[in-house]
Amino acid sequence: MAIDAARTAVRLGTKRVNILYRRGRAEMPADPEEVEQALGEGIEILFLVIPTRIKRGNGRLSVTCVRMELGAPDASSRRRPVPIKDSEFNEEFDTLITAIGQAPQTPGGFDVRMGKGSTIQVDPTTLTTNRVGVFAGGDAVTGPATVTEALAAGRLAASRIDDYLQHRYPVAGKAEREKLVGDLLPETIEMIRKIGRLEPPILLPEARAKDFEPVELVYDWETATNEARRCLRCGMGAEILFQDKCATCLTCLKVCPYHAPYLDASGTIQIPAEQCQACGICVAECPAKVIVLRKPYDRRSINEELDHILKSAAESKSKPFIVGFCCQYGLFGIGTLANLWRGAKAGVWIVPVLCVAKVEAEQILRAFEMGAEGVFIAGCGEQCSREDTAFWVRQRVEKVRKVLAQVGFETERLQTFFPSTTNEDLAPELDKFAEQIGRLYLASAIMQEVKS
Amino acid sequence: MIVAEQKSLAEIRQMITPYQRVLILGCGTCMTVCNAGGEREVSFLHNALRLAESRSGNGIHTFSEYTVKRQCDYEFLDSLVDKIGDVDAILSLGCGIGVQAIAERLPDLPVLPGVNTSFMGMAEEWGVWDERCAACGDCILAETGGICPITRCTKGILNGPCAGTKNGKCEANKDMDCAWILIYKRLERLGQLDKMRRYYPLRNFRTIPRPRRVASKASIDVGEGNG
Repeated sequence: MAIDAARTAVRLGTKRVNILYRRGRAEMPADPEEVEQALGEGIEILFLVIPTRIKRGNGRLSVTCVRMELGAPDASSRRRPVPIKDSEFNEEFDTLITAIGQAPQTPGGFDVRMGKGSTIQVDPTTLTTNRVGVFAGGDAVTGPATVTEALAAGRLAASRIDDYLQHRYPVAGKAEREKLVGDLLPETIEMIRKIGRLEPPILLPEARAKDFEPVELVYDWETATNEARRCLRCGMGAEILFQDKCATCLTCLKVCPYHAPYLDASGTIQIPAEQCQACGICVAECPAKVIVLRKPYDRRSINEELDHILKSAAESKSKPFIVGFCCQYGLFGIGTLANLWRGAKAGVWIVPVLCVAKVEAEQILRAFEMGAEGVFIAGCGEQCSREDTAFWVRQRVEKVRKVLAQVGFETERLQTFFPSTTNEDLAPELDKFAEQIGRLYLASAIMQEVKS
Repeated sequence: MIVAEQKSLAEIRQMITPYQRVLILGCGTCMTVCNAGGEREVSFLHNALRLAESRSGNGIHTFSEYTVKRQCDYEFLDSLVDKIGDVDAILSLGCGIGVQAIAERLPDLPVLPGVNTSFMGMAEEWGVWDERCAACGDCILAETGGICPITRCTKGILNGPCAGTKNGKCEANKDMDCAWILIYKRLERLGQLDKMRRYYPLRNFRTIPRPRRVASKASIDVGEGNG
């Protein structure tokens, strides 16, 4: 609160702003970044200082302060500040703002029962207040918490209101809900590539302390994409859709980079939702084709995208045409995809995929069957969240190349591209590939002529 | 498990030449496990054949696909009956047993083998299978520490190792373990090395009279006794 009030004062034009705080910097409940930003805006924080007396005189406020030192930890496990004897000193201010915490404000006449810290009291199961038909949730009930918790309270309230309207006592208890997502296994954590949080750029102090415009700027494309890639995709991963068709061949168990699938005591494969990172490798490798991704970027969406571009390519009548399955995560982030997007480059048609490990051998064959003269798969290489994406892509590429060789297609018509560094530009490689396909196409067209 | 390998596309195309409408039939058991003929291989082969057709420019074939849980029992093949009305031949991706079961169940329809049935074995790692049992009908695994010299020794000898063993590998293939060294080490662990010192009399390697039959039921006539 003090930080907010102080930064507001700076923005209103106050020349000198001080914060008096009775503990040390490490004990401040404010976000460390906000403390840092406040200091950057010229706010001076007097740590281990407590005001004991305020006197008005000469149109100013004379504040008597005492210096403190940290003693034994208190109930909040922060070290309790203890006054130092004979350490009194005086400071003069024009205005003093008491900022010693925040409390919810419930409109007068609302008549709901309040508890400690002006929070509203509710029944923990039904979320009802003492007033019939009034429900409460969020910070007003729990005291300061996160936005996520407030959203969750809102969702929960909706279902409790539904229960109330249908004259039904709530079924699912809180404990039951909390079991939905379990902890990641240590062996799974080990395999997840760690991508640190990326802080958005911040306006310089001179620029930001003048008005109330947001001080945090937005991410650029690359940062935003990389930030989004930190998602663990909880609950979006693989599931066995048809257990009765599962041959229990253990392929999923062997190919999963995260050790998520396991064989339960009854001999059935289970893929726990919270362990799965939705890479799609098992989906593309399952020999019985019974594994699907819960949502939303499964085989079907790649097929739809592929059909769409094959249709567009056929309509455009541009010959020869090339189909590229491209990583929608990394390549998008570094702008490669944007350059290739939807026929922007003559004759190159892009199927964006959320990780090329999801591309199946059948889909590559289909592109050739529908008239593509060349197919390439471009992954994000070094940026990939996994070590073995290229391995799986190349397994499928080799399988398809065997078929190509047997039907009289040159195997060079199918290529993979994996940039080895973030800055490597794929464009020249792709240009070379397109040229090569053009030559092969020309050669085969001449052969056709000669034959007929 | 039975392990097989899909035939080459060229051979499959040769086989289906006389037939216009072909049903590619997968098997949901062993052939799925060994990546030779499960639903994925069925659809991959389907795509490959269609590509070959469009590539050759004069394709006359049409394909359909289906996968049953197991081809080696009539009961699983019953569901085929309403899928073969407009089919000239079945290309089975089942093992040799599956192909024959189809031939017996559907006497009027040609059935073609899409895989070469190879052996009985298990997965060594993802995508690699090794032979383990030769189905010799005379199991001696109790004497050899659970490791089969008939299958895993190149010579199939009963009183090994032979002089061709070197650093635990076989002279026929330096990457292959010598089965008899494996047997020795295992018997050593089990404290049963005396089994190594025994001499096993000559084995009868005569051709096994085929076909063999195994019955797990006792031969009791229905109605015998008081039922």
